Amino acid sequence: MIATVRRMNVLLDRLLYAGTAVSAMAFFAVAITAISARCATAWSFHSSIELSRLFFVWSCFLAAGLAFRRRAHVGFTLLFDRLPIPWRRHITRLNYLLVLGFAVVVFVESVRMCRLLWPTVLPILGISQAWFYVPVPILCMCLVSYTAEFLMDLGTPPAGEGRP
Amino acid sequence: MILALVVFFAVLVAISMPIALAIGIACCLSLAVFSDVPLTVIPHKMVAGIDNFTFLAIPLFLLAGKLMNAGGITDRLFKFARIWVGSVPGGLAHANVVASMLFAWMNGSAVATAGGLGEIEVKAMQDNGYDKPFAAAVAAAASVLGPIIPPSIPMIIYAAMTDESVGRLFLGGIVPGVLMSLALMVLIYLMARARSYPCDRRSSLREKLAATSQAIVPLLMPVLMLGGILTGWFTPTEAAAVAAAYALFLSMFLYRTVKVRDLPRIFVDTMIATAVVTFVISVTSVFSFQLSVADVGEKVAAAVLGFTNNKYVVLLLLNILLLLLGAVMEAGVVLILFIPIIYPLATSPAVGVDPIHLGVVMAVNLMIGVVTPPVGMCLFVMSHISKLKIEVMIRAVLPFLVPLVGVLMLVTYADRLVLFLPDLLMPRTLTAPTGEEAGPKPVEVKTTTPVAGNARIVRIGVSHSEQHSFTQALERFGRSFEARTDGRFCVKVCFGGQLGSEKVLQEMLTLGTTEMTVTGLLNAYEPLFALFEMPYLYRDRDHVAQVNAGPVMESLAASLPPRGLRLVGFYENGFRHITNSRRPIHEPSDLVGLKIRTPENPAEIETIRALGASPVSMPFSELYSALLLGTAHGQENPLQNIWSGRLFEAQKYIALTAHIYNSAYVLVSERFWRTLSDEDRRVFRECVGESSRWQLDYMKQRDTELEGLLRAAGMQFTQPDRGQFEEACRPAYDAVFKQLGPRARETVEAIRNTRAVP
Repeated sequence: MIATVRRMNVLLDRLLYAGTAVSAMAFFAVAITAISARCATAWSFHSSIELSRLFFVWSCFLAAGLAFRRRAHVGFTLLFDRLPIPWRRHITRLNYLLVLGFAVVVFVESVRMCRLLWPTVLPILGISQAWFYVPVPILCMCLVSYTAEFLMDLGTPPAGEGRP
Repeated sequence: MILALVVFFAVLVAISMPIALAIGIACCLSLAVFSDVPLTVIPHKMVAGIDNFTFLAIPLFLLAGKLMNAGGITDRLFKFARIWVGSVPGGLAHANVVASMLFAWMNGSAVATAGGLGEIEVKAMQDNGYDKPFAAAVAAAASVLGPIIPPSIPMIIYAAMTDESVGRLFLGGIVPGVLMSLALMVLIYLMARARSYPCDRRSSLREKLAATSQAIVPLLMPVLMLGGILTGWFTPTEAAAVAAAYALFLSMFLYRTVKVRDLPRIFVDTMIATAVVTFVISVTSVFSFQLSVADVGEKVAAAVLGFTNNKYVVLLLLNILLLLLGAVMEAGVVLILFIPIIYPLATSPAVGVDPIHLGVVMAVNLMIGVVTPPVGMCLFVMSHISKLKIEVMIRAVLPFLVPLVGVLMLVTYADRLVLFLPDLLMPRTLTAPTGEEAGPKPVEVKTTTPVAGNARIVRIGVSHSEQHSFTQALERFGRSFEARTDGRFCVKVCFGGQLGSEKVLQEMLTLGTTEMTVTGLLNAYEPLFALFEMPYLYRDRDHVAQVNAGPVMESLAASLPPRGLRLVGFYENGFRHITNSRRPIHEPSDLVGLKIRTPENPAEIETIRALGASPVSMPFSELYSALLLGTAHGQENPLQNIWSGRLFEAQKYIALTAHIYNSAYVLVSERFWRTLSDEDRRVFRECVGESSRWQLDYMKQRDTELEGLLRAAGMQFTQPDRGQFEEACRPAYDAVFKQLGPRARETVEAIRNTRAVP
């Protein structure tokens, strides 16, 4: 079970990495193209604002998933670090369960939101405005999957402890 | 609700939950337990919170910094600084400060400055006989300059959250940054003398020139950025993209230290660093929504103003609060959490702090927090780099807090030090632009009457300012609806975009997370609504009224309820006119060659193109500085937006083309509408009708008043011939019909043929 979840998370991680790289490069390219077009030609890249915002939102949410897996999100650990180790394990488990609950709630609500907003369109690109919101359920799925792995890791005794 | 939210948040943070998730979970719990707002507001606000063009500058400046590091440019900067100032007592420490100051001109982050230069600096100082804690402390203290000298990520966040000018904030940071550098160098000089630190031999002119030639290309980056902004080539936000492109060019093509295969890693690392900040911003917008709904900004302002409204006492309290918070919480998080409360309080007329001064003081204050224990990020970075224990690091950095806090006090109480450069190079009055798509976000809620025990709350979000005719009309609606329903409803008008932009508010109606708004963006729901903004479509205002009450509008409005909206009335945004800074416009040929900014609406883009000008798309928040600096030559808007956005300060000529009429649609959430009884719906419609009649009458006389005000402000008016312009605009119809399909032509014909019902 742990192995399956871990394999799935490695795959998710690669997908998030690729998605983040592509969307980040895309909004950089769109921004540069828009400035160059305006300065050097009479052509104006009208969809540049919608496109760059769209790619930016995607790259931020996908990267937030990567940051979660790498435990890069900022936290306050001064009090936590002073607790006895067994307490820390319980609190960490509680934290993961809360994150799991939050991710599930936001996933359900974000899917509902995407469905409700799907008929609305971006005036210039002509695509659904809901594309801005699609990365939220993707992030939530990743949070659920990563948290499941972290929780399973907590349940596994560290190497050399309780094992022959 | 707010107390519960704060308690949940505090508990979660105390048990080491990452701050972004702690805010998200606390908001989720408090909304679920104490509020009737659907939880859909959480993902919606999470996206809306970061869907802001200004925020694009954060990853782009971080990317510039990462490419500089990867390209070995930081090493060149340090060598350059060492040659020039290394011979002064404490020379290498001075070089450390100067290199940090130079690097600060190229990236906006303290952590990037400490991480980028720290290793080189500490090693060089240690090799030359400086003790390690001193070397690491200098690098940590100098890293504070990163986000104060422009570009600055905290200032970008502040600008995006308050709709202030990024350019003016950047200029405001220059003097405090330079003063901090000088103050640090004075302390270093004194400490170096006292501790007999070595200094380099004096370099010859030849050596100085050689080091300068090695560093000259990267040193051109700030010149390119500021020069580009001031000459109108790009806006301050776009300057971030130019900085990143320049760094990419240097690293890949000039120094050839970065390969194509390195790029995905550099971009992903940049985005992870960005996401750590934007994820907090994202969930904090849910928190801000709850603050707005609970009137917290108004209550805090009332409490503080009850104690004092002395500007200097308020600033002192602010300094103490931010220094304390900055010491225990991550600086960016404090900034994001407290802007919605501090900004409206400090910039209120009763206190009168300049918004740019406030932004710079907050940035300086919180950046000192990056080197104050126990949660100073740069302390941890330098402790990691120098392999020193954090306690040793903290002791070593303490003396450096004295000059930093000294400069903070100076810039807090001598506001001219901050405002001198912005006023000189980007002059501007205190008022921030307020207009069509966006506005400033004073966290203030107008409740027409106090909320009775079980009165049902009707939240109205509007993105315009308190003085705007929409807000005034909505307040009239609120008073009338409350009175006629015997206090069963309490109407709260949340103006200034505090619940979100026009687009966000419209979506909130669909999701049922707010009850009512006024927007002009219905083409997002039914593209044919764009046709009501076609040029010279209407004969006059009477024709507009006939169309709005007629079958065409009725049939299009029928498409809205299945999408969660209901159209209940119309206000007027007005006739759009063209302004520019180049020449008076008499005929369409005068527009040829001008870059005219238009909203992202096909009808308006095609109209400007048909008239011979080049349509330029940019967010309204960037428009003022773009016009002032010449990035766009002109724009088109109704008179009330030209006035409230203070666009006349940047534009000399106005042509009364009246080429497009903008209606504003009064919308309610279908979810809310279904809960009203038939009688309440009838009263609701009547009250909207009354407010609409008032607003339409007001706009007729307001246009005449505004014309006088704009003339008095120095704008030159021309009255072009309508026939010529109407003829020139014909191709716009063909282009839009092509985009919107055959129904578009029929709809336009039907609009044109609408006559008064006898």
